[in-house]
Amino acid sequence: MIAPESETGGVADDTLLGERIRHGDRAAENELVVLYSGRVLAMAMARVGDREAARELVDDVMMATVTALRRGTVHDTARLGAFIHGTALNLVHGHLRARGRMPRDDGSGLEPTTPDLAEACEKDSDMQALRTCCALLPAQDHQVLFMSLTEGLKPGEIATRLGLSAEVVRQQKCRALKRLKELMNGASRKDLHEPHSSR
Amino acid sequence: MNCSVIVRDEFAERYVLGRLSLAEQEAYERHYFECDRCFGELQTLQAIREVLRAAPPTLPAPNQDRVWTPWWRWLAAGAVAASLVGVVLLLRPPGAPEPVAQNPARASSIRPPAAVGGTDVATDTATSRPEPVNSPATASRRLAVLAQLARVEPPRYSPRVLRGVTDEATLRFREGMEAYSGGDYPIAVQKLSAAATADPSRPDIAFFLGASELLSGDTAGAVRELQRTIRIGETPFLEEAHFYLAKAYLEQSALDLARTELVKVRALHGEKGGEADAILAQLASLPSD
Repeated sequence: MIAPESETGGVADDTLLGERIRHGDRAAENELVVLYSGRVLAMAMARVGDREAARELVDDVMMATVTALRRGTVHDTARLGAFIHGTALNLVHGHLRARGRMPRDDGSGLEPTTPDLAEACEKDSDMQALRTCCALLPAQDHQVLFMSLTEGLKPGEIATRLGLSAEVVRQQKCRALKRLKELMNGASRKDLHEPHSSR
Repeated sequence: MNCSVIVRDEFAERYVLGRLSLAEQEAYERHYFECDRCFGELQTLQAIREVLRAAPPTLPAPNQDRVWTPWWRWLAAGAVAASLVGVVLLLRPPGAPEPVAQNPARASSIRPPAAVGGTDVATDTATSRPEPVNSPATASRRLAVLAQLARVEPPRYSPRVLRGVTDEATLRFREGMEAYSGGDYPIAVQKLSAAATADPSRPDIAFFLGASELLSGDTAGAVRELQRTIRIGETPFLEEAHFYLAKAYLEQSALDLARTELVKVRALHGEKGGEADAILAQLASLPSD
């Protein structure tokens, strides 16, 4: 589901979760998967660009993590996120090598890959709510957001197309995103008691 | 890498658009694997992108596609309009009341949209003698209008859902905004000041600190924090910061500075544009000092 905008910017401490998994707690394993699979999928999609392969990689990464935790070979269980990210990177690189593709280098001159996570990460009800919220945006804000997020245009380019200044475009974009998040926060607060799929 | 840098440099957007370098991509991923807020932002942004892709907005004609009317056609249209006005005036029966627009005295007596504290601040110059510019009555009306224009409604704040571990700035911000939501602005100032010390780069903290100072009567402090919010740059708080800075200047009777800020609000074409226009209009019709 869409995570309501959280003010949690700190590093999560997963020590307890890691310990529970090490002692064979199956519910803790499920919690781990729920907490991290969205992140691994986001990363795998960004780097591999193939949904099926990304899903397989998520399974592999989560299985490798759980196995390592069960065996007690994870040294710093307080920062499982870092461990899982490292595992995911290794497996993604392995996958790309096997496919005969190296990870892209510094990004210049290469076609951007775009992760397509919404379908996997979001519930239908959230997406419907988001669609409704988008429809409530002022037309020009909506258009600026569209040009920015789907066409990848920069504020100066959008400004030229719409006959506005780049500063106005940037402000409209900021405002539209803020408004959408506020609307989504309002919508999410209705079902606050529902567990989040993101951590 | 921290949350402030990620927000400032738009990492989430560049990530979904595939515009990060490999090193930036890896650093950003490492961060969002451990940060709820940034992963939430990423998910939300991605979902918005998907929704926009599935249902593009109805596109109004962009400027370059507009059909521009040559200047001479406007001139011709103006001439036609002027002649029509002339015809209407000629056809007006003798003794009929003069149209308002033809009466400079009435046209200049623009009534502010709202009476100030139950006092009618407008003067109907058609029926009453004009007052000397520097008369005590004019001065008091001017003060009443300024007091009305400087009045501040607390900026809207949407409380957000908190999960997991929080950093120092966020903890203080949350405490401050609890006080703010309860209308306890002096306490909000105290907590938000601590939050601003912990993370001076966050525009939300700077903005609400400025707003709280304004609401608790510390106008100089409000000016300082709202200016700081503006200096942070392109953030969702930019327009509101200009608007409330204008309010602070009005409170200080610094009308030129207030006008400058209101013009900036108007130029941003945002939600406060209408209010800024209304205040600018009232300032324009303000009795002279």
